[in-house]
Parts: sequence; C-alpha cells; structure tokens
Amino acid sequence: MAASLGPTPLIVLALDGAVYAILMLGIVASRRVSLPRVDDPNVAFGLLEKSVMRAYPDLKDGFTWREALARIKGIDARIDWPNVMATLAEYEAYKYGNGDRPAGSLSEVVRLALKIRMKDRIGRGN
Amino acid sequence: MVAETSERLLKEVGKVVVGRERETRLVLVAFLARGHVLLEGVPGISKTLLARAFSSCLGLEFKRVQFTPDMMPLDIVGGFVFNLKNREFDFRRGPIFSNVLLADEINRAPPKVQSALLEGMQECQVTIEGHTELLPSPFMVVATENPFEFHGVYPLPEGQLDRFMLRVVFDYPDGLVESEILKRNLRDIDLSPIEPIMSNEQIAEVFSKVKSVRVSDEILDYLSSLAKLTRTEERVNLGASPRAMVHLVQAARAFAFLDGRDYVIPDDVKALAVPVLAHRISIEQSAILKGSAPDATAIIREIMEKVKPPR
Repeated sequence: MAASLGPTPLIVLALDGAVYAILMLGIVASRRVSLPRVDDPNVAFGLLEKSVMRAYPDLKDGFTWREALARIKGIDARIDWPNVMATLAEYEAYKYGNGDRPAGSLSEVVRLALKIRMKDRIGRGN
Repeated sequence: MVAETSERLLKEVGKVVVGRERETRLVLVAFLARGHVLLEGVPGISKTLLARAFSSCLGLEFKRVQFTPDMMPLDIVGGFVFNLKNREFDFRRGPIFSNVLLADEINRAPPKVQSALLEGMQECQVTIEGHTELLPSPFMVVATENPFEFHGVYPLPEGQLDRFMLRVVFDYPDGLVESEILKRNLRDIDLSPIEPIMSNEQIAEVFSKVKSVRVSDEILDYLSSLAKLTRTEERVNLGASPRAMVHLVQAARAFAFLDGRDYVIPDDVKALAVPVLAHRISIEQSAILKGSAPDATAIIREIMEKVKPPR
C-alpha cells in the first residue's frame, strides 16, 4: 500500500513554479527599457540624432535624416518603419513647411533611438 | 497630380529615350525652375534626342542650332534685313525665338556667339542695335557639349557656365539599356508616339506653384554655409557665385514640388548640389597637379559631407 504524501509536494511544486515565474519576469523586466514619454518632435529627433551619432561614428556631419534612416534600416525587425518614415515626413512638414506639430505618436522614433543606443552598448561591451 | 505629371513625362520621354530617367528628371527640374541646362557627354548618347522628346512632351516650340566655328551671333538672335519692298530694315527673328533652343555642341562656336545667348538666358530678351525683343515664354536653353574635345573648341567661360542652372552629365548606358537602344534603332526613331501632357496654361500654373514652395530660414542658412565653404576651400580657385546659390534654391523648390511637397528639405539641396554647383567651381591648378583634387564633383560631395544640414 502506497503511503499517501498528502498535498505537500504539490504545494512545493506550485511554490517552485511561482518563484521561477517571478524570477523570469524580473529578468524580462530588467531587459526591457521603459519608453520615456516625449511630446516634442525636436526632443524625439534630438534623442535619435545623439544615438545615431554615437553608434555610427563614421557617419559624416552632413547626413540628413533620410540618409541616416536608410542606413540604419534593418537594425531591428520590430521597429515599425512605415511609422518612423511617416513621423519623419510630419516632422519635416512641421520644421520646414510651417506645418502643424506631428499629430501622431513619437514613440516609435524614441524606441528607435533607444534600440540604437542599446545595440551600441552591446557592441561596445558595456 | 504633380507626381502623376512627372511620371507621365518620364513615361512619354521613355517611349523614345531609353534608360535616361535621372537625366530627364533633372531637365524637368531645370525647366520648372525656369533655368537652362547643359548636357555633357560623349557624342551619341541621346542628349539631343532627350531634348527633342522633352519639348514634344510639353508641347513646346523647339529649335535646334548646330554650333560651328564659323557662326555669327546673328545666326542665333536674328538681325535687321533690308526689305526691298518697303525699303526699310525689318527685324528677322533668329532661332532663339522659341520655347526650347537646343544649342548643340555649344563649345564649337566662338565666344561672341556663345555670348549672344547671355542676355536671352538671363533676361529672356534680346537687344540688337538698340532694338529689344522679348523672347517667348517659357524659354529654355538646352546646350550640349562633349567634354573630351580639345581641338577646334572654345571652352565656355565661367560667366557663361554660371548661366546654366544645371549641368547633367550623361554616362554610357549599361549593358541592358544598350541592348534596348540597339533593338529600338533597328527601325527609325519616331517622335510621333509622344503626346503633349500639359497645355501652356497648365505649365504657367505649375510655374507659379513651384515659386510658392516654401524655403525655411534654416535651409537658407544651410545654403549659405555651403556657399561659404566652396569659397574658402583651399583647393577651389573660384567658389559658387550668389547666382549659383539662387539657382540651387530654385532647383530645390522644383525638386520638392516634383516630390509632392510644398517645402524644401535638406535632401533636395543635397540631391542637386552636384548638378548645380560642380560646373561653376574652378579647381586650383596646384591641387590638380598634386592629385589632392580629383574633380569638381568630388569636391562638392566632400563639402556636402562636411556641412551639417538642419535636422
């Protein structure tokens, strides 16, 4: 006759699972970069400029946004490029065409800036 | 509507000229910006055909003058001829009185003939013996020259070159394009399939729209920095003139318009810097001898890489 172990192993197993889940969530959360909220297009593109210049030191001073974006396209498949290009067009219309402030979200531009910075850090090993 | 017109023009010209989309677009930019264009390349690479096809597309009056060393200014602008019937001198208009004047092999004519074009190119009028006549509108000079000819040619002086808004360099076509050219030339070249895509009224409307394309102060400052660098670059003898920079702004407006924008962005300026500026700057002879200045195009590209555009 098999001795009954009672609910103890199941509780231990569940606790174990919970501890692992918390650990995994912690790891994922630590790797995820929180996206700062940016409403000013000059700030968003300023952030992107700093990241691009740091990550691509061979880029000459005379680069334009379209040239830079053509070069960094493909850095991350999860970047929504049509959104980035549409935001750039809105930014250009605002900056050079006296148009309205970009109505769409600037989050994709900020995300791109952070992705470039992260890749650059990984590349530099710090 | 704009992009559609541009594409239609490229398509119509493409019916007779193969593989010259970039060159056709630049000629269109010069036309919309009310400038003149210098087509440079070896003989037999569709320069003349492109000019003819382009004017057919826009339904413009086209005249061609083959420049030769024995030409006189009268052969271009016209002159007074004694009329035996009324015993008076009548003004006979020369071929410059057209919408598109093709000055074929312009560097074969002596400087006084080349100079006969100056007033027309700058002020759209000609003056002969105190008699001034306005040229038709629109008026555009499309000149061609072969840069590899050294005998029996008169290189265009800087002042004349400065009148050309754009210089478009024609390279040899690549293999596939050349095959297509050969295939098309098995039968006679016929311009009749080209259909005019715009009326004179529509052209006038487009001109006024191009003129209203916005150029921000930041873009103007950028242009000013570029001009300054062409003048201070030690390998350059003669930098870009103020007229060159005015032409660059006008061409950038037309370029932006063709891209469907009513404002100029730095990319428009960068795309046109070489065609607008390279033929106007003169390189220091010592730099050429030392090998530090490959050519004007390379120097303009270097300058464009050095000057930070607004971002």
